[in-house]
This record gives sequence, structure tokens and C-alpha cells, in this order.
Amino acid sequence: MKGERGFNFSISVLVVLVVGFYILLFLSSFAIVSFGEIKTALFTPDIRFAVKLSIVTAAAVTVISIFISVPSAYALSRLNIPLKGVLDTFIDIPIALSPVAIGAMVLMFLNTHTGRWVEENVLQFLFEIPGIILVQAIIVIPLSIRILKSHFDTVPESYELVARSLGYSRTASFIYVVLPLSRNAILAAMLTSFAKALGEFGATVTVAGAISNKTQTLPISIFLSLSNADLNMTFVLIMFLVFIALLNMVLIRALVGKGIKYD
Amino acid sequence: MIEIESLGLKLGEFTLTDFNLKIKDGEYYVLLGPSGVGKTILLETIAGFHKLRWGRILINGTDVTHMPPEKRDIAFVPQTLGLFPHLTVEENIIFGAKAKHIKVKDALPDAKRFSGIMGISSLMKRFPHELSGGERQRIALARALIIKPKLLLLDEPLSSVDPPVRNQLQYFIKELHGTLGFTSLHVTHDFQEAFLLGDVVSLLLNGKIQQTGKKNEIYFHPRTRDAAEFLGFRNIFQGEVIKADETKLCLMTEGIGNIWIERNFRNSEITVGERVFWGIRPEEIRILRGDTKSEERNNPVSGKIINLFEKAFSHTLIFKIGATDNHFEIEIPHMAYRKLQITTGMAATVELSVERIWVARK
Amino acid sequence: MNGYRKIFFSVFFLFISYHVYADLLIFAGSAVKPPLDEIAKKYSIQCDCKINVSYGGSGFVLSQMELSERGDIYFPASPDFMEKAKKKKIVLPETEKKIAYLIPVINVQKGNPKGIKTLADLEKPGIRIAVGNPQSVCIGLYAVEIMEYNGMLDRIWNKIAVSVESCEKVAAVLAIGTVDAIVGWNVFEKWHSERIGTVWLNPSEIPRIAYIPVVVSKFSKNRDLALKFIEFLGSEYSLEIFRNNGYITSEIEARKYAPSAKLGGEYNLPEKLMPGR
Repeated sequence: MKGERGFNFSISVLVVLVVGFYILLFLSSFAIVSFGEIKTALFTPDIRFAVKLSIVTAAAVTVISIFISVPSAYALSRLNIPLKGVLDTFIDIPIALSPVAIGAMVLMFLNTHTGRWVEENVLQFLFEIPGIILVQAIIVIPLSIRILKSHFDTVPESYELVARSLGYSRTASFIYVVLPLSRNAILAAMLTSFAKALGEFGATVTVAGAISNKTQTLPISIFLSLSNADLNMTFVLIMFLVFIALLNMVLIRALVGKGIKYD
Repeated sequence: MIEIESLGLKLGEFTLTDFNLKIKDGEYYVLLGPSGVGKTILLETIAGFHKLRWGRILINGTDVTHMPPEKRDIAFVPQTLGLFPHLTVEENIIFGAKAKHIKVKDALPDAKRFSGIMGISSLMKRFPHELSGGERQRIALARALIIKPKLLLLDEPLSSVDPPVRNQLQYFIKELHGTLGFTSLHVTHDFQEAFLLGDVVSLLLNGKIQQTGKKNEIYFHPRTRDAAEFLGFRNIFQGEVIKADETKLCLMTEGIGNIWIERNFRNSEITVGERVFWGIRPEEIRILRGDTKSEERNNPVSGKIINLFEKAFSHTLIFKIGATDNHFEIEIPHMAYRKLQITTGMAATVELSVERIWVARK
Repeated sequence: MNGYRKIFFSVFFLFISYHVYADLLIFAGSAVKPPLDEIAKKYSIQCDCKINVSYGGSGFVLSQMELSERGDIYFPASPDFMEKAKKKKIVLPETEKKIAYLIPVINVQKGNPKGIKTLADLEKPGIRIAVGNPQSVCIGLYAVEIMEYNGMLDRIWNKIAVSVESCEKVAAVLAIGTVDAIVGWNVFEKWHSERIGTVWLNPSEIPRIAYIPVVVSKFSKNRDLALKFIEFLGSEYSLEIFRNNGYITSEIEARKYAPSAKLGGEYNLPEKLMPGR
């Protein structure tokens, strides 16, 4: 029993230290910034634009991501498509790549023949808002697929078999049986996608540029104010970002908490 | 009438060749075999979840081999029951209604009736995870039967249920079948369950159907050694046929001596000189009281009781045969045990009943 | 499902319609953001045209420009990147204009608590120094040249506490207090007026001064407008704004601080500081 108590104590202390470290990190921002400065920032139109842009683009990315990653993850989990293992591995590559690398590749692609055609005839991405959404979606989707595939792998296939034997087509059994059981996983994927898109910087700035009142998201604003040696503004913005991220995370915990038990 | 003709199947490591099956309307057909032999995959194939390599599946004359599961009119109850955790019992039961474009309110009366038959009326608004194994089993059955399928597939339905509940459910299913008369293919590794429920039992061993028939036939007269072992024959030996006439066979087994077996149509083809397997069930070996004499035609064997396992209602004795290392496993009811005053180490003579010895060539 | 589909497409089209094509796209170093923002705003009212400025490290935005083959104007924060751009042949050299001038100085904490008065003082024990990474930051390159020119490179190179990767970070690192002194530009004090002070170098110690150039990009689709904007950048109005932001805008004035220094041009890093030594 004594050994057990020692172990419990050590790991508790570790957790407290880790969390404490992060809290200290956030609090250190206060060393530079005062409440007055925060208030001023709240009223600056540039900043308000950046916050709005960040939230709206992150939301758009999240929606797009879910529509693409849910079926993709399901396919990877259930179907026996040729080269499934290869596809699976490929999905992991964007996750490991540096966002700037991804941004640079998109930049290059949009300059190829096909890319130019798209830019001229479909939608302008470079240095425009759609570019923010495009590149953030590219980064977020593989992550979302990973989360959802893990989940689908745990949903026993017997549920779908039963539904089909009761007369439901494959599509119908996916919609009426698998999706309701995936509510929490989808929610988690959405909120993680949102968080990742919100904080994304490297690829966004490469493809959409850092253009005030146009493509200036919150992370880009932080970068710009640091670049302009405006330290006060930098930390105010960091605090906004932390706040939104915290809100996001709290929501995940609240919603995922309601789990569904199945055999 | 469900007909499966020359079904051949390969899924991963599992292969099945030339499988044939015929189930009459309203018949309760049991497929009996050890776990892991692929019974689940077979059922899933019949339901339409896997493609078969060769063969056909016909339901009342219609070839459904290439139809998707939802069009086959076959209900499937998996081993885990597959009750939808996010729906109430009621919603689970009427789940099949939507696929047939029946409105919820029209499906409810039927659901009520069924749940009455199943004895689960009071549970309609509850969720599956709140209920016991027995209750869930009945809900799964209600859900499957309410759509009046042409064939009900049951994959080891009672394997995850506690023994007392299991017996209850077996009787329940038997009665239900009597009342509703559905056609069923039930797969299990429990031969007692097979014999209770099955109108017809097929024994599936080593990828092939070894034997099909009414239960008594299979139970008392398995056709192969493997089948015998699976069905609980604990005492299996090899012997050489030294005498054969119209009424009797005599086998010589080393260490045991001559064994007389009754001749019948099952072993009629066995001739002198053949090496065969023979066996007898633990319950069919009689221990003689100390002073009783026996004749050779009753297959007496002398030996010693070397071990004794007391169970609740019967006891298992390990009987060492003569001077050999072979032994018989004998099962005697508690009463007999007391009467005979059996102790470990005691010498005894046992008799093997001539009609109860099983013999087979392979 | 139908309702969701409608919402999705309307949002999608909203984004497309919201898009307004810019008349001028400028790639600029972040260092010039304060004055450039103001000037661009004024000009876009004047010409009734839309001007978008994308900021970043001078090298970074150059890469963006090169990869995307977009942009009308390139406005780096230092001449070495202009040289790079010219070498890559992605700008029109004949349109280059010098806008402001940069003098290397020693920046210290406000009030000069460590009492640094000369270049030699940097060698004193207990003084922590930062310079920009000479491979990527202009001021870093100039700092190394100054030290080599004054014969202190060997002694001081090992002492350098921090090698920072961008111009603004060099200033930031001093402002936050991580180091006591940096070799910076004269404008740094203006960027952090409450935290940074300036110690001017002896004119004889300065081998080279820099300038901030602007040029029209080869990829410009609005060459006339771009040229006009560059003209405007060089106008009194604009130069006044630059001066308000701490920049020196005439060569004559710049020369006061370093009469015999070279203006711009290239300096090659000594062997031992080249990558992979």
C-alpha cells in the first residue's frame, strides 16, 4: 500500500506541475500588458476584424472538414478498397508536415497551369479569404479523418449488419445507425478542427498573405504586431486567442462527457 | 424452403467448399460445430454480407445469391445481439418498420403484441444497456421476428447468457417456435442446446458437414471419431474386428480385451479385420456391485477406481483399466455413488452396454 | 439535408461575392508597416483604388512573390533583399527608388543602465549582446561587418548571447530585456520609445549604411499605377510620414552620421561565419 501511495502522489504532483506551468505561461503575459490596453484593443476595428475573420473562417473550415472527413473516415474504416494501407499512410503525411511547407506547396500549385485556370475561372485563392479556408482545410482534414476513423473502428460492424438485415440499405444504415452513434466523435472532430484552424499561422500567411483588413486572422495579427515590435498588442492578441481556445476546449469536454455505451 | 447449393467461400483465412443445406418451411435447423470453424462467416454470407465464390442461395425458389442483404428478407441476430444503444427498446423493435415504409404509429400495435408474446412489455421505454442478458435476447428476437422474415439467422444467441437464464431462454425459444412457426437457422457449439431446439441438426466439423439428421441419431450414433469426440464421447478407443455375424461384432482392443457390439444398419458394412474406432458415453458405463458376476457378452472390464470428482448432482470417476494406462471416464448419479459406497483405490468391474457402444470407421 | 445544403451554398457564394479585386498588391517587409499603412490608406482614397499590402519578413514575402508570380510592388526593409530580387530577375531595376536611410547604431535599454558609451564597451564582461542572424537579417550582416571593420569580430563573436532571425525580433529582444545591447538601426528607438535608447557610433566606425528601397515587380499587371504609387512614396507627404516614424529620408542627412560609409552594396560574410563551418 505504501508503494501505491507514493506512486499516486508522484503522478498527481506531475499533473499539477504541468498544468501550473501552462497557467504561469499565460499569466506571464500580464507582466507586459495592462487591462487598459486590453480594453483599447477591444475597440480597435482592425482587431475586431481579425477576430471575426478568424472565427468565421475557422467555422467554415470546420464545416467543410466534417463533410469531407466523415465519409472518408468511414470508407477507410469499413471498406476494403485496394491500396487501403497506402491511403491510410498518406493521410498521416500532411499531419507531420510543417504548415509553411504545405502553404508553399499550395502556392506553387496555384501557379501551375491547372492552378492558374482555377484562379481565373473558379475562385481566387491567393492572397484572398478563400485561400485561408483552402489551406486550413488541407491541414485540418487529415486530423479530422484520423479522429473519426479511430471512432468508426470502435463501432461494431454488427449494428450495420443487423440494420441491413432489417431492410436498410448501406447508406440508410450509415445514416440511421452509425451517425447517431458517432455524435460525440463528430463533435470532437469539429471542435478540434476549429481549434486547429483558429490557431493556424504558417500555411495561412504563406498562401493568403498578411493583409490588414483582408486576410489578417488572429494568429497573423499576433505575428504582425510582434514584427512591428508592438509588444503590448502582441500579448493582448495572444490573450484573445487563448480565451477563444479555452472556450472551445471547455465545450468539447462538456459535450464529449455524455458518452454512449455499447457492447 | 431455403436451399443452399454448393456454396463455396473464401474470406481471409477461412475457406468453405461445396456446402449444401436445405431448410423446410417452418423448420428449426441447427448447425452444430465448435467455435472458430466459421459458422458466423457462413451465416453472414447467407444473410448477404459476404460474396460467395461458388454456389447459389435460393429462398422459396428465388435466387438471392446476388441480392443485397436488405432485399433478401432474412433477419440476422448476431452473437452480440446488436441492439442499438441509442434507441429505446420500443424503437429497436420497430426499427425494421421504417425500411418497409411503415409509419411508426402503424407499427406500434404489432410491436405491442410482440412484446407481449416476448414478455417484455414493461421494458418498452428503457434502453438496452439497462437490461439483463435474458431481456436483451428477447428484444433482439422481437426485433427480428416482427418483420416476418422468410428466414431467421441466429448466431450463437445464448453464448453470452448465464446458465440458468440460458435454459429458460432455450425453452422460451422452443415454445416461441411452436407458436409462431418461423423458419430458422441457428448456429451453436453447445450440443445440448442443439438437441433441445433443433428439428434437424447438422454437424459441421473441419469445414464439412459430417452428419445431418434428427438429434437422437447424431447424439447416440456419430459417424466419425471427431464427431463423437465433439458430442461428448469421452471414452474412445481403437480396436480390430475379429468376429462378425448378423447379430454381433467382436472387437479386440489391447489392454481391454474383447468388446461385443450389437449389429445394426449403421455398422452393417464393417467386416472382419478392419481397424475401427469405438466408444461409449460416461453415463452408459455400469459399475457392478462387488459380488455380481458378469458374462463376456456384457463386456465386463476389471480395474481400479483411481480418481473421483464430486460434482453437484453427479460424480465423475476415473477408472483404470486392468494393468494398462488406459482409463474410462464414468459418470454416475449421486444416489448410485452412495449405494455402491465407492472409494478411491477400490477395485471394481464395469459393464459396457452392448447397445450403447458406438463404432465408426474413421 | 436540403436545408443544410442551402445554407452551405449561400455561405460559399457569399465568400465569392465578397471578394473585391485589388488594384495594387504590395509585398513589404514588416518593418515598414507603420508608415506604409498610413501612406497606402491616403493614396487609395486619392486614386480611388484598392491597395492590399501583405507583410512579412523581407525574404519571406519575396519568396511568396516569386512562387505566386503575383504582386505589383516589392518594398523590402533593407537593400540586400533588393539585390536578391534583382538577381532573380523578378523586379524591374530601372524603377527602383530609395525611400529612407538606415544608420547602424548601438541600442541599449532606456536610460542606459549599463553605461555603454562606445563600440568597445560591448566587449566588457557582463554585457549581453544580440545580433540578427547575418545570413538572413540585414542588420545582422551589417553588425558583423562593423565588428570586422573595427577588428573586434573574433573577440566578440563568441560573446554574442542571441542570434535572432528577424529585424524586429532583434529590437524586441532588447525591449523585453533579454540582452543589454544590440547593434540595431537608428529607427529602433522609435519603435520602442519607452524601452530603448540609442548610442550613436563614431562615424569612423561605420563602414556601410543602408537604405530602404522600393521597386515595381515584373509580375505587375498595373505597371502605370504601380509607378505612380512609387512616385507617391517618394513625395514630401510620404517622406514626412517616414520621418515621423523615425526614419532619415535624405542621403545628405544620413551622411552626417557616416560621411565616408558605403551606401548599400554587398558585403561578404567572412569564411568562418559561413554556414556549415
